[in-house]
Amino acid sequence: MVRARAFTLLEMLVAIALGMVIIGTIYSGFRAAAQAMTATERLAIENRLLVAGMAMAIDEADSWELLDRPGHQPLRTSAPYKAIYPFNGGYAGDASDWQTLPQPFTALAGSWPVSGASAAFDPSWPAHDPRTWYRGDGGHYFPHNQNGMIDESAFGDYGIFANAAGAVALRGTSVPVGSTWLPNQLKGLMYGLGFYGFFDYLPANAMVDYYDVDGAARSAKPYTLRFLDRTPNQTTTWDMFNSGRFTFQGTDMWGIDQFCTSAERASTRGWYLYSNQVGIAAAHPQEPGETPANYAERQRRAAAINRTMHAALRFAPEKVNTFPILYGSLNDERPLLAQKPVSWPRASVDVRRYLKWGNVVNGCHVRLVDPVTGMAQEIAFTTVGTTLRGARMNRNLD
Amino acid sequence: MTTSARSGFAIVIVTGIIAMLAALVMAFLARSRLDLGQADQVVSLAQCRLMLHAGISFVQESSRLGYARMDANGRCQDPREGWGWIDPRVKYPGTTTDMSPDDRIGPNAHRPMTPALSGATDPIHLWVPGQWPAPGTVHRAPMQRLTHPPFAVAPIAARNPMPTDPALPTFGIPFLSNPDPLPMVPATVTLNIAAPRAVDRKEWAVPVDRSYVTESAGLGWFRVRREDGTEVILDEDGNALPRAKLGTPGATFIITVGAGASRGWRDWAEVVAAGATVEFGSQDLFENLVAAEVRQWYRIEWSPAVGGGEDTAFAFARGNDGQKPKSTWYETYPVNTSRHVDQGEVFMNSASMPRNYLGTIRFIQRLAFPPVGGAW
Repeated sequence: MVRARAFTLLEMLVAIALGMVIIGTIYSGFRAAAQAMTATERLAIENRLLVAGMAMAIDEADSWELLDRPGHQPLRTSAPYKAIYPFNGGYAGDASDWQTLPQPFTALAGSWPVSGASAAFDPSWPAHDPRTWYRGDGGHYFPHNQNGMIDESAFGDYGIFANAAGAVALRGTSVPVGSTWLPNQLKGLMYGLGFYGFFDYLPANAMVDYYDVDGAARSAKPYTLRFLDRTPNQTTTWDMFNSGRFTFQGTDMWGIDQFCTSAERASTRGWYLYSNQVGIAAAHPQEPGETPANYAERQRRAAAINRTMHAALRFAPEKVNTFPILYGSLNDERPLLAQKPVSWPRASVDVRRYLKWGNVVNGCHVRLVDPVTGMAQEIAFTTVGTTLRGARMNRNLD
Repeated sequence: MTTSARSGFAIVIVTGIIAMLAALVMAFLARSRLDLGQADQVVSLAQCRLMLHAGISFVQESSRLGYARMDANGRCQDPREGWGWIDPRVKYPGTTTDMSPDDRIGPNAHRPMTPALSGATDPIHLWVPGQWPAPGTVHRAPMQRLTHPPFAVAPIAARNPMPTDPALPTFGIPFLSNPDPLPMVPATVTLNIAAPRAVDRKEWAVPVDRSYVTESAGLGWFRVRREDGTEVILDEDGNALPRAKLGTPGATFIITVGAGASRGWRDWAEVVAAGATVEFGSQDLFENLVAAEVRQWYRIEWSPAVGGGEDTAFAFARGNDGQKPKSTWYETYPVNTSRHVDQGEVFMNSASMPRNYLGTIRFIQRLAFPPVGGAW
């Protein structure tokens, strides 16, 4: 009898069971590996987006392309420009007239004549040149005027020595002014660049005020210094100069008009103090589906920032810390990718440029928002980079 | 099926599974490595930005340090302030030596700058034509950390206990007699933490360990060219910018920054001319290092203008918004303190409130193209 060689039933069951365990283990292993690969791929995408976003933010600190690039130049308005005088007259406080005013990337050659400043912008501003020296008396002030306000007169009696105008009336007689170079440089830069650009171009020890009597009643401050209210639409403003805190009006009581008729005396502050909170912004291009009205509103809000002095804690009503408001206003996230797969995270880059107590700051933000999980990540950092004047030189502006 | 056939089958299956798992692992590692390589780009950009910061700081700090002779003991002799890259007293390109008091102010303070930027026949210049910091010359700065740099400070706090013996004339008086932080001195110098003492400058400066910390070497460098006005700078469209727009020669600098191991040499010819071929061994190696690194070009202008502190300065004269006598302002806003108290509220003073004494930077300009003719 020949016994057939075969597996017993028990052997078969054991073999099948072992086989299933093995197959199950392999399946689980492959499944885990596949999930790991998927997660790795996901992390790799996020990593690449963050890397690209950081590179873009660092590069943007130098290039300024988000604010000014071929095909998108919202900060280059063109003549004819609107003349603004006296100090807060003619300027729409809500910046609805921003397109008729010079912006930070406007060529100074176009805006300078409208500012009423004489000569032209002098890029050298050598410190050893006496023309660049401040010729006021920073400590000269009257405690109160008839309204109980501070009545500073740093330039008050001294408009004869430094003035944007070439001559002033002194007790009825026109006399030549000693120095006109610095007041006119200040005047042209403030008008032509807005506040951020104004401070960007000034030396760190510059006094930002100047005396200006030219018969046209232009003032030492061609623009209203304002700060953004907490209201989201940012339309409520507070005029620092008219509030009394920094007023420089009131010439009758002290008889100063005997010295300079139509005088408006400036409060004297320097680069450091007046640059306590100043930002620069431009609206990004109109988005698909965005209404023209909404786009115009974004443009208006951005332009308002460029001509606004944002008061700091101590100078604001109710002692509101307005810096978060300014910083939030500068937020203008741009998508890193114009198009992307639906499942990819949305990556955005934001570079906020501002001055804070004399410090030039580029606040960079790179964000990822996962459409699947909703998880948001952000890398925020500051970096040194090309200044506005450097960016303008690269564009052969000034 | 024979036993050997079954064994072969199992080996094939197992091998295949292992191969697939190995492929997955390799793909995972390759992906991770690729991500790391992409992150290197940002690291290089950040390294360049650090070098820019270092270059700007170098220009500022060296503007007014002056140039003094050291005697054999390492002590400073004949200290002279540098007066800045453009001496604001006389508009000569700095750094210049001290002059007679009559020359500092008044009509003589603004005499014409002759000969322009050369300094060849002008005795007041402290620099030698053709050598840094003469206009048109370059200072190269490969950056790495020294194991023990000169004038290092120790990461420990000095104690300044108040005398507790009522018999002492200094009883209860918090004299800060011990330096804090303590100077880092070689082990050969005894320094008692409990009773520190002033350390001689020579002890502090030498000897030091100038060997590089290995992991810090070959990462970044900067080099500074002091412009003499002959540089041709291109705008973004490749057009030469007029010199009048570019700031004052002598106070403007081209700062080249790099993330890599070329140590700031511009090209191999410069390495050869300087007799520094031993640093790289071969031209191929040097050029490979150059090809692998990131280089960026910037321009800056230094200004003697110093900012900060103006509100305090004016406040001394003005009083506190007219509400207080002037004399109280000093008590309310003492200079160089980190905070002040006003009407019961504590305010933090800005770090920029005190003036700096190293000058400031008028502009920073990242160049779209390297300066023409290798003038960097």
